[in-house]
Parts: sequence; structure tokens; C-alpha cells
Amino acid sequence: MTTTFPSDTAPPQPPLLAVRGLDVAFPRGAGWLHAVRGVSFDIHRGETLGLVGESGSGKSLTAFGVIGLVPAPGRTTGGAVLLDGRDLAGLSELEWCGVRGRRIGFVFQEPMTALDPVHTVGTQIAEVLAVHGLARGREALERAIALLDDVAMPEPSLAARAYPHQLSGGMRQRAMIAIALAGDPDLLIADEPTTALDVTVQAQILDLLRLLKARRRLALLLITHDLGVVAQMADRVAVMYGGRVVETSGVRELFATPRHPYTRGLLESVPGGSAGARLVAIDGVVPALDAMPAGCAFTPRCGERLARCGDDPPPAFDVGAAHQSRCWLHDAARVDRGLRP
Amino acid sequence: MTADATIGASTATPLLRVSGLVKEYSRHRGWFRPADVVRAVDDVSFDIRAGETFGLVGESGSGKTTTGRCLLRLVEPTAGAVQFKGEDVLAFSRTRMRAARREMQMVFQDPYSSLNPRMRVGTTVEEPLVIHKLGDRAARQARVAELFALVGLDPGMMRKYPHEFSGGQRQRIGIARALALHPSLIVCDEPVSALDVSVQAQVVNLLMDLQGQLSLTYLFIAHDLRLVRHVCQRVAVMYRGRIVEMGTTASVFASPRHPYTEALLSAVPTPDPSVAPARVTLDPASFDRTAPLRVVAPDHSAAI
Repeated sequence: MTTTFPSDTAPPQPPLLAVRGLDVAFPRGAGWLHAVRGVSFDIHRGETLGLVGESGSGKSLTAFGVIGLVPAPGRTTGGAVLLDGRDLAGLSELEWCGVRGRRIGFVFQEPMTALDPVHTVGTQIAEVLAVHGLARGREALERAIALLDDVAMPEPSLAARAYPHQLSGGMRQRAMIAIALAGDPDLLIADEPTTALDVTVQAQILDLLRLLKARRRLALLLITHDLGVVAQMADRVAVMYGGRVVETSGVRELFATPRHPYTRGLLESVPGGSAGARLVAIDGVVPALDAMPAGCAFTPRCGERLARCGDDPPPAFDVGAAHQSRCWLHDAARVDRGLRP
Repeated sequence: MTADATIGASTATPLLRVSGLVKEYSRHRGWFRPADVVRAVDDVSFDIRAGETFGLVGESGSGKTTTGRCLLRLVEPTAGAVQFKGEDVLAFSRTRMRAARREMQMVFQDPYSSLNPRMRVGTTVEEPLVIHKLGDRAARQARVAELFALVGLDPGMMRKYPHEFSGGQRQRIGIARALALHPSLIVCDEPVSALDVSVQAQVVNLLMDLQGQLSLTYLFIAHDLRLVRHVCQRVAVMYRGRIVEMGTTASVFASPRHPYTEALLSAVPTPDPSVAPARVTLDPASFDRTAPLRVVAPDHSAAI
């Protein structure tokens, strides 16, 4: 079974993380309000998946669903999350501890609320190392300083003794990333990691994430609403709307040939055309959870809606190589082609 | 359009002229120690021409919001002059200033915290008319309905409360309130940064439409450079309380001259994956922070 050309014959690597039909819901009266509906995606080692959507699209809840931390009273009501092929659904709290922070690191949007204000940055990193049994005491503090150096924190040994409020926003986010990396995870989930930062600081943090990803072969799930950030960071993109992934594709193909009407509208609404021209806006607003159409959630705002769109949820159609879009227009196009001789 | 505005405006007096504006805050460090003085706004001067959108960009702490608030005297400047239609706003008495604010209004950043949650939105929009004693109740109600229609809201929603509205709709309510007194200048402080991209575009389009219909002049304070490039004819870049570069948006964005502007513009991620990021990092030692603005191109100056 020795092969001379492993790349030709080896089976494709299984994804590091596979999310299959994830459902997250909140109780409402006698029933459930579904905030995340049937979300599926893969992330391979060393790959960045950009999860894009507006507020209320379910992108953050998807991330919480992945790490089993959906805020109560919400809960995961369906689907599977596979890490290296192993389903995380049945894990005990203790087993989860070996996953969260150890296999999957998490970086939150607002470092000031995510960091503990009464402990120094060094202590907080050392605590992660101790919890995972990687180092303790003096050694843990030294490793904390090394981690702060890894994330390009200026003066790492001073920063280790600093409290979060003594650091600038960018430095806090570096500290946050150092904590997330302390368990040496394979996957980093970053939820809007640069949204609270100034644009020059954002650029530095994005550079850092890019560097860490290459150096540690990290997989990155990058949740953002900023299409510029996605374009610069992601290998693949999943666009969410109304709790569903409406389009997935490689990043270049998505920006060059977006297929779902929502993705097209989103890309067109980015200012950048000629100065003073009207921006292309998507009319209306994201429907409230309790007012979601039974079919495609974008139907009320869609300029190309068909009669069936409001009632009938479209499946994911293959519209290119590793490019899927959930829109009945693709079905109509196929039928058109099929009918013509 | 930019070129016309430049030629037309060079002869006319500006609607607003800010000269040598300074705002200092003192920070007390203890009872027996002298207070530190922080200059949030440091010798800022610019003109805004009637009918234009003038952008003020910079990062957090650069002093752009404080500058905007000083113009309306929501914050009292330490020194400098603000002339609105040729009159010195800073010399106005409280009563005179209150009257002047009819012409100078503000749209705030956060539509979630800038509306009184206990007040019906119609009352919020009507309030400026009550304060300035304009019209009787029926006339005011008619004006509020008119304003709702103007900003694209159903006047039937006047009796609702803010929580019943989405972020974009709340920002429309904030705009309606700002328009109630027929202002000529509106200071828009990050008017769309709390909104989603698809809704941002709706509100920006509304602001641009209103500008045309009502001949408004905007001071547009923002950190989103893509948006500023889109809506502003002229722009000033602030860094640590000072304007480091100012000029027509086209000229400043196409050929930035100050190292900070270059770094700032290069940091904006391009929404195009085929364009590799070409970042310019800022070396604060590479420029003199006290350098005055000098002309580097027609209607374009930089502190270099």
C-alpha cells in the first residue's frame, strides 16, 4: 500500500469540524422558535471559514451550538457537530472540558467583557494551562509570557502582570487570543474579533490571526458581518440569513459570482461605487424570529421571488464546484434548460 | 459634482467656519498633584460650504465626536471660534444659542440609546416643536406626520414606543426629530455605524435624498472610510485631536499625503479577495505632530 503520489491516491482528508443540520431553538409558549435551522458546514485543518450574516442571522448562535454553550433557555434541538469524526452531542460536562479551550479556542467580540477584570492577564492564561494540565505554577506563568510573545504583545512580561483595564483595546484582543491559544487548540472560533476595534488595530489583529493560522496550522471559524474582513481572511464563506446558510462557496467565487439574491444584495450594498451615487439597498428588514416565512426567510425582501418561495424552503442547489445556494431560482433555471430541446 | 462644488464655494462664505478650536479636559490625579490637561481637540480649523457633506474621519479618541459636539456647544470648547452664517456661535447667550440650535441639529450614533424608551416616538419627534413653541397642538401633529412621511415611516406608527422599531427605523425617527425645526446644518455622528450593512444603505440613501430635497449641509462624522468616500465631497482626517489632512474626498483618497492618512486608508480591508492587502504601517516618528497644514494640491492640504 505504499504510494508514490500520495496526493493522487490518498482519500480526501476528513474535515476537522463537520456541522450537520444544526438546529438551535428557544422555547416560546408550547413550541420552539428556531434561531438556527439545519446549518451544515465543514472546516478543514489550516482553513478559514468565514461565517457571514447580519445581526439576528444566527451566526453567533451557530458558534455557541458548536461548543455546546447555547445560552439558556435556548438549546440545540437537532443535528450533529463532529470534531475529527466524533460527535460532540453526547459529551459529559467533564468531557467538554477536554474540548473547549483544548481542541477549540474561542475569541469573543468584546475583550473587555470576556476577560476577568480582577485577575492579571498572565494569571488568566496560566489558569487555562493549569485547567488542561499543561503546566502549573511558575512554569505556567512563563508559558503565559511566551504565549503573549506569540501574539506579538508588546512587552509580554509586563503585559502578563497587567490587568485588562490597563491595556488598550488591541492589546486586550491579543490577550484574549493568547488565552484561546493556551490549550493549543486545532480550531479557533473568532466571533467578530475586530468589530470593536479601530481599523488600523483591526488590520494588526487580522495579520496576527493570519500568521497564527499559518504557524500552527489552525482552522479558523471567523464570524463577521464585514465583507471586507471576509474577503481578506477567508478561504471559504458561508452566508447566513434568517438562521439558515443560504450560500456556501470558495471566497473568490463568492465575490465574483454570488448566486443567492441575498448574497448579491449584501455585496452590492457595500459602499464603494462612484461617490455620491445611491447605494444599492435591500428593502425591508430581517423578519423577527416569530414572523419567519415557512419557506425561504429572504422572500419578503427578495426582488426575484417566485410563487413557491414563501411556503417551500429551498434545498441547497449545486451551482458550481463546491458552491451551493439555497434558492428556487436555480431549480427554475434547471427546469428551463431541461424543457428546451 | 465635486469640482462644481469647489468652484462654486470658493467665492461664497462658508456656512460654518471653525477656527482654532480647542477642547481641553483636565484629569485630576490626586488632591495635591497638579491636574493633567488632555487636549481632545487641538487647534482644529475647517470650513463647511452650504449644501455639501463634509466628512470628519478618525479613529476612536481622535477628537472627531468632541469636535462635532463643540460646534453645537453640547460641549463648551476651551478656545477657538465657530462662525455659523457669519455669526460667532461661541459668543451667544444661552437663550440665543437655544434659538441657533433650530438651524443646527444632530443625529446620534446609537438609535437604541438616543431615543427615550418611555416616550411615544411621535412625542419624541414633536418635542423640539414644543420647546421652540412652534404651532398649536394640531399644527404640530400635522408636522410630525409630515416628518414621518419624509423619512419613510408610516405616520400611523407615531403612537408606538421605540422598542417596537428596528434599528434602521429608529434612526429614521432620530432623523425626523433633527429635521423638525428646518435646520440648515446637521451634524451626523456615526449615523449608520450601529446598523447592518443592508440597512445602512437605506439610511444613507435617505440622508442623501433629504439633502437634495431640503438643501441640507452635513457634517458627517464616521470611522467607515468606504462610506465617507461614498457620501462626502470633502473630508478632514483627525489624529490625536488634530486635523492632519483635509481636502476633496477624491484627492485625499486617491493620493493621501500624510503618513497617518496613508496608514488609515491602507488598513481598510477591501471587499475583493483578489486584491492582496497592501498595508502601510504607521511610524509615529516619521512625522512632526505639530506641523501645520499646508497646501499640497488644489483644495487639498496636509500637515507635513
